[in-house]
Amino acid sequence: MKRLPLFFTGVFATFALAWLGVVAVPQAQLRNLQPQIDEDNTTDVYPVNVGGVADQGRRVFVANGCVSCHSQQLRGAGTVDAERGWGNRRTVPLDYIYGQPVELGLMRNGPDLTNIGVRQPNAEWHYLHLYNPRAVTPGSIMPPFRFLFEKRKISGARSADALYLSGVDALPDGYEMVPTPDAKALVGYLLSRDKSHPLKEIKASREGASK
Amino acid sequence: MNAPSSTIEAVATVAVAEFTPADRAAIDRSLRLPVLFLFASATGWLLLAILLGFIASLKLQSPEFLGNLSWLTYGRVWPAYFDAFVYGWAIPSGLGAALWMIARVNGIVMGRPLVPVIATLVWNIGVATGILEILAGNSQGFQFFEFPRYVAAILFISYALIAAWAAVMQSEGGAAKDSVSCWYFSAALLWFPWLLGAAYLLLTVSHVSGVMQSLVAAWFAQNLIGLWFVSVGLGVIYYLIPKVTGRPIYSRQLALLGFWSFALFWGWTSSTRLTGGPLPVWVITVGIGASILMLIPVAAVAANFSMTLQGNFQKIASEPSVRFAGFAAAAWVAASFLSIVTSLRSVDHVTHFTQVSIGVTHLFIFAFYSMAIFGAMYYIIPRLLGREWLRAEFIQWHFWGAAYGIGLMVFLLILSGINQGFAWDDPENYKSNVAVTDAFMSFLRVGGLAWLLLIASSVLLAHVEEETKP
Repeated sequence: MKRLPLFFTGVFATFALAWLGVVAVPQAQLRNLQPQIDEDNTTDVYPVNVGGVADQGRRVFVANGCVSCHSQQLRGAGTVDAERGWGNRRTVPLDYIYGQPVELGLMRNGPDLTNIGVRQPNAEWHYLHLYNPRAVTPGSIMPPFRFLFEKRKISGARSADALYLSGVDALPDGYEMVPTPDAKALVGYLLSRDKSHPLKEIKASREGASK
Repeated sequence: MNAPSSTIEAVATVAVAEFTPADRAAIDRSLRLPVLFLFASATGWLLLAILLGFIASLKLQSPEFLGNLSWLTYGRVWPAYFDAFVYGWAIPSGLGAALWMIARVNGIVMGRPLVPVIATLVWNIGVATGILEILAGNSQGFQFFEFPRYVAAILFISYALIAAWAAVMQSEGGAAKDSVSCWYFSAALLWFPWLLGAAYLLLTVSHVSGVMQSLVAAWFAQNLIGLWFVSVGLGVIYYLIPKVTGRPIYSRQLALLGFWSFALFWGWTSSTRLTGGPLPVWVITVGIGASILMLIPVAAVAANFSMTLQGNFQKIASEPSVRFAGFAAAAWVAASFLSIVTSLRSVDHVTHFTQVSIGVTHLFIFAFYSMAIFGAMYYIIPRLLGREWLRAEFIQWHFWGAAYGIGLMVFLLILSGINQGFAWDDPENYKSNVAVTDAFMSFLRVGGLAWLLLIASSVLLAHVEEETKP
């Protein structure tokens, strides 16, 4: 090639240009997002960095690739996402300023989990569902997460967090099934999934017109 | 472009090799060990990847299958499949083909074969470690970037070693020749480490926050498809078609247009992976615009391929390498067209979050790229070994198994994805998620057949390689 330097400059420039447009400029725009403080008499702050067990649970969520089938982003009123009761407003960058990694998800082999903590606030339901999805939702294709639970011989009193298993899952007498710390963290994470707080920016841009 | 004939003359010197058979034999000898090692280990990874994909597909149909093994839960096997495919099979095999073709075009005898062999070994150890880490539950959680950061570092270093070796050999080898396939190879060889390095820094070192993580991950995944799969795949096809037909590339201007418009537009299409997501609307709109502009390189390259093949289509039937390359070229046009159509907001509204995106990805990485690489392997390996394939009928069977397997798989994925999209939207299903999974799983249940065809065809490839060894 006679014009080798020109070629390599072009190869570099096209790559750098797209990087500037797709990564650097959005980063500059989104870098300094601050939580919103409600101006009504509550002065609530949103979002809140819950941390703790929810952060540990996020690791379990990532480790088991839950994102392969579950999204955590909503497209707003007027879309099926709202009609299905997953959440009545679209999600925006502000919703995601806390937590690493952010798992928006690209696939919905199962339902969206953006607001699962509001839609299903019952921890017991989540434990049973993780242990055997089909015991709670017949016909579900979710894999079982029995490896997040521990079968134990009951010594003395039954543990407070032991599952109430019945049918095919029923245990022999004298045994109980308890969630491991990973299962507790995962359910803690799921219960913390709540992006239903109203946002000023969405009222301002007339939610519903956008898709 | 008033006279196409003068264009042909201008590039005629490029396609016709000017080296003596002795030169070519010396080049092949110098590359025998590194390229065969890249091809052989890549073929092993291909088999393993397809097995992982098959297990994942079985688990989607029968969630209780191997249900108690944490290491094989669907959410770990599925990304392990993709990463074994991309990092185990696709990148090393493409590297092998690109290095050999660059050396042949430029007439470089590559010294110090142990450097790339050791680097390939380290790369393979890195991939194996990464797959085990994903299965053990240590994924980073970003698509195509699941490997833990230390594994990404191992891959980066071993890749850099091979690239540096190739650059040193090239600079010792004298003046580089102008060849369309080498534009794509050189660009891909440079783009990939930038891409991996930038994603590594942004996702695991500086930890960009919030949705920027998703945008960087989308940028990485989209560019991995474009800057590696598309670049190397097109480079291979640009090399094979003129070689086997004995005719130069139809038009250098079209090739220039196709290359530079692709380089300019592709990177911007990244955000279409997140259409409808929590990002500034302009970011998505720019992505869709770039996606539509991709019509320019697709049309330019497709026209160039078909004009070069004009009157020589019977070669597709007689020459195995061109048959694979021809299939790959057609699949590339289909993949590009589908990714443009599904980037439009009205279509994306239905197909987003569905199997359609997986179908399009498979069109790119298997029907297009892998088929092109198979063609390259069938062209290169006999030259490296100095002997012909022992049984040509096996190559035929490999072709038909792979072609029908991937064709069926993509067809089923797209059909089930469209069903999935409409089923989520159907008010009748609002109360039931299971009704939706039933709607798309009914098609995917046939997918086992596609996987079996792909497994059988990959076993054939491995067997053909094995029995041809002296």
